[in-house]
Amino acid sequence: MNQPLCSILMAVRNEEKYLPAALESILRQTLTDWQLVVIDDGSTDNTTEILKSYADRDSRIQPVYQPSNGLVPALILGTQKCYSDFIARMDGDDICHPQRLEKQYRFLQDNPETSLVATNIRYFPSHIVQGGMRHYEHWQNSLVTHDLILRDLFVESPFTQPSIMYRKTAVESVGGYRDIGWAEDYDLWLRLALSKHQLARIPETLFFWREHADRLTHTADEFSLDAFRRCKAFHLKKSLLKDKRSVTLWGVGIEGKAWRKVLLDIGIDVHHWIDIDPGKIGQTIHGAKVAEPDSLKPGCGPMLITIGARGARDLVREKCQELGLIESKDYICVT
Amino acid sequence: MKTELYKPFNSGQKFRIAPPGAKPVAGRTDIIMSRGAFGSGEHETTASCIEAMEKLDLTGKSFLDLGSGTGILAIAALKLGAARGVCIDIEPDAVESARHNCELNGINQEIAHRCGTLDDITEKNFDFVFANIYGDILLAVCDDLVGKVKPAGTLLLSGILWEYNYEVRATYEKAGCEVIKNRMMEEFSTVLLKKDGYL
Repeated sequence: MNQPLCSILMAVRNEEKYLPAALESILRQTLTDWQLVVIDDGSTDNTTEILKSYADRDSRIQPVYQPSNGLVPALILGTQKCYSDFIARMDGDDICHPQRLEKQYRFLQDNPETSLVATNIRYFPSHIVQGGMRHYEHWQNSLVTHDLILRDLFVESPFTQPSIMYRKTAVESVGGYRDIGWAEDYDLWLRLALSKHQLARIPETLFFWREHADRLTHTADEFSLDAFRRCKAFHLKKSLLKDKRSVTLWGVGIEGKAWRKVLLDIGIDVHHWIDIDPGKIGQTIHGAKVAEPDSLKPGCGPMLITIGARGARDLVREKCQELGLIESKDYICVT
Repeated sequence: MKTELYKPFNSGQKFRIAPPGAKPVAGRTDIIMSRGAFGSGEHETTASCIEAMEKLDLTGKSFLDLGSGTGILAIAALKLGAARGVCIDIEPDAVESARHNCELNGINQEIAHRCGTLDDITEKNFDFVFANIYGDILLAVCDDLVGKVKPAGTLLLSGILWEYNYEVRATYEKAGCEVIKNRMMEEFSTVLLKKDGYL
């Protein structure tokens, strides 16, 4: 087939309930020169028939059935079938704004240095979207520049995967999708960012992210908190913690202790804890002293901030700035 | 009721939304709205509803306005020839606002104002249902709302964010309605449906 302006890559399994709405939102796009590559990963419900009926009516929709093989193999297979260098990811249960493809495509055309562009997202349906999810939505949408994305890169995944459009060549240059036990998308963003690729966000709500109990992020081990910590630690070891044998951890709570374990697994020990609790300052925990923030000095070694409570991260950043510490050099927020 | 003056503006082909005391203009029918906490009809969903209503034959008809807010749709319906209607809103302040605006337009006798939810509506067989509320609420009340319209009656639904549009249409189609018009706007959408004549 001729090369379309944009390829849409989707992987689905048993998505009969929401798939028609997702496909209709693609059919309403103002950018019409696209191909939709849908890997049907062993669906056992009506998904295969739904895809066939849409493909019969519109040759741009190209379903590929494979026996159930998992998301990452499906994305790798799908990528091979994408003919454009501009790939928009999409899931079978979400909704695109009609101008989504057009705006992302134009953005990448106008910004040749950018490898990946996301958009603002909105969770729905609103009656089941909880406070924490709204907070995540707000946080993600606040990362409107490459620098802000990099600053918060290790806090959480800065992008909703099905909302992004990327250059196929850029993703292939860092090895493409891979499955090494944690979220394949976050792993990909980290590799792109650490390989100096420019990342961007269009600050307009062009993608609607459906919340429901069956979503993979709620059910798969790869999306557990522990898997996220291991993913972050793996990439930190290749960046801020490269050649380091020990770190300072800010936060002697459950999260801080969970981080200690993950770091130990990759050969990095904790040499100091930082905490503001007067009851903890001066104690020795797992062989490392707990000190107060004022003991910190620029250049005193990498520190990971494991304080993620709402508002607390900003306070920690203020304190670090007051002490002359430089973010992403002296310290980094990891939760 | 606290109100403020604003510049009159046109809505649809026939109406002008104007504050109390505004001088009438030729060629437009005024809907007098005091501007309070619930706006006065500038929102794209309200404007699209008024535009859709202008094309309907409301003469002598009855209607239910669910989530009536300021009462603007009910007032427009009456001015387009409807005989009577019921306005209901869950917010007591909105009910008061609708009552006040209906008074300003001299039409309170034809409107019953209620504070509550769809469950509080005992009447059935309305010729029209207007519901400019949220998409997820429209999904939740679908069967009950369709049940309030008489066979072959009309539902005008709005306040539907883009992400709910497909499911609202699909759900109401499943409940025995036919989509007559689906209008997608900047952020919201408006759907006009006709209920099956045999339901």
